[in-house]
Amino acid sequence: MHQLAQSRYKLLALLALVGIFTLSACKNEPAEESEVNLVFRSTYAGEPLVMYEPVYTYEENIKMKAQLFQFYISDIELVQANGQSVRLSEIELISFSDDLNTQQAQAGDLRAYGDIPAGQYERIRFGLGISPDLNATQPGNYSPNHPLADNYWSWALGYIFSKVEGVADVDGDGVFSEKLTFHTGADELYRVLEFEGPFLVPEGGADLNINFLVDLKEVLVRGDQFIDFRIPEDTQDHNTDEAIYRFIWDNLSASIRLQ
Amino acid sequence: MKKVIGLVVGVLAMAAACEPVGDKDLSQLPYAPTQVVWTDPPGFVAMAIPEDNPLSEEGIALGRALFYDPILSFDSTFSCGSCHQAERAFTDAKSRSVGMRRRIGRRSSPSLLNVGYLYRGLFWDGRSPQLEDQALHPVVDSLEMGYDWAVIEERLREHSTYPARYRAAFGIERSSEIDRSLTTKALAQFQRTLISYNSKFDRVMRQEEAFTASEKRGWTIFFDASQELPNGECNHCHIDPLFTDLSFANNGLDEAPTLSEFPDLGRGAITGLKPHNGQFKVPSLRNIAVTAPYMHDGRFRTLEAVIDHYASGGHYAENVNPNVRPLALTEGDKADLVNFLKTLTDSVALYNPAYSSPFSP
Repeated sequence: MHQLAQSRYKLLALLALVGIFTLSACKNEPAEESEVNLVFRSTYAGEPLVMYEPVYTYEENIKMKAQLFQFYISDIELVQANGQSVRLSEIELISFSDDLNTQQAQAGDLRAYGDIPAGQYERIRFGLGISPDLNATQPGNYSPNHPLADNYWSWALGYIFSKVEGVADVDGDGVFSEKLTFHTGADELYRVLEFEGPFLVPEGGADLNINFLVDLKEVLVRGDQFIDFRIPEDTQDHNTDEAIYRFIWDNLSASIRLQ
Repeated sequence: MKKVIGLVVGVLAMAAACEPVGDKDLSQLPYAPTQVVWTDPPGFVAMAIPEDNPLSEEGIALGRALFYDPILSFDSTFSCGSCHQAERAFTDAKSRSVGMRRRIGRRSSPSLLNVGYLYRGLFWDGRSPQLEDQALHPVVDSLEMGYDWAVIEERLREHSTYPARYRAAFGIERSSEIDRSLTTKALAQFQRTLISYNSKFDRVMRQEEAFTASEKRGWTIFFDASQELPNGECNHCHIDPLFTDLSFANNGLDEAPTLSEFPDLGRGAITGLKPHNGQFKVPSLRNIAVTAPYMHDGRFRTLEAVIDHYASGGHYAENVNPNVRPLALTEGDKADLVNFLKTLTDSVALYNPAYSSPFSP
């Protein structure tokens, strides 16, 4: 009886050792899926864009301060050489509104996507704005923390794709009394942007960071063209003046670049 | 025999001494809460109901009783309902709320209708993340109910009916388990049921009714929906269906040459961030016609005064929301805006019997 119990214990101990060995062996095997981090950082003429307090020099020596800069991106995908793609996210609101100091601005707006198959991807693409399918939905379709639970124009039955807000001192008196607000959004503005890699999603659970940069000054200024804050009618547009909203939107799509 | 009786009496006395005074065994009372399956009004973003505080009929009923019961105040004269009156959309018609012993509060009482959807912070300064936390504050605020939670908990434990109601709502075994956490959970449950979505505006949106010409013009100005009428710039912050974007904003009430010079720091006092100074929660405009006076300090007595403020572009501060800018509104435009705002009054909600005091005759 005693011997039988002893051999049972031995068998159990052996099984436990085999189990531990198997588990530790699994741990050392390279994982086939890893994490991809998208980081968006914003600048103003190359300097980290910080909301509210820092003064930035605009055209014609106008001074400005930013309060809000955000935009949506849709259908974010990594694309392989054979054309197959892996979707990272259906929709994201990229926002720099909480960048209240340089450190926050340098950290940027980070999105992490897990379980991305390891391998080489040729490019990354996403739609700037909200895809027409999603733009036909409305906030009531979503939970509170979903990106599309907000920024909706009910009168236009569509979302606000981008917002730029701030204040300007146009006459050099040190008073930032000119208010700037540019909101843009409409199906016809939606466009797909592609950025060439290659991007290697490493094996073994290591992260791939893909860094994007967007410069606010480039959103408001193109060559010798700029939105003239000295003209009161040009300090605001909510998708009503086509010349302004298309200018901003074209500039925004051109200003987003891989870092 | 006398010795045996004495021993039994002694043991019983010792057993009684082990049980805290007033601690009642509730385990024999029924606990079978009726879960409430919540349905959001059409177009509303889903209400975020905490997993540890699901709605039940018993919890809501308990919360309703507690909301209207002055037992939560120092001298038992003052309840949540004193400052949040249903027929005034759960406000109190005062510039700054008046608490126990007529103490003047710091700010006005905000409306509680649709408060369950305000998931980005409660109070004018957003200091509470959700209703369960929010309800902790007024009870101990010396300008409101001015008391001590420990004493309130004792009162509730010793009450003739509440222990059984806490048992029915939360399944407690003993009255000593009644605490502030369960109390605020019940209050939160009741407040999540306070819904407004049956105003004329809602009926027009559902195509059950039509705006008058003036209301329609007001709607158009409010939403900046036509280039043929002036912009009201209202809907940047007051987005339907809640008529708030849940954000915090400086709407130009006070001139502030620097970001440190506001009479009330508002959101900034909570976050400690200078850009947030002078910012307050954007309130819902639903039932706005019955919630005068307006703003966090009740400085405007009429809707006309509010519109005049916005039409002026507000006072200067660097963090004034840029959408607060001078408006080119005629007196007729302003009247149309007011008429539109009046369509947001929801008498179904204001006089909903389920929202009223259960202690009323």
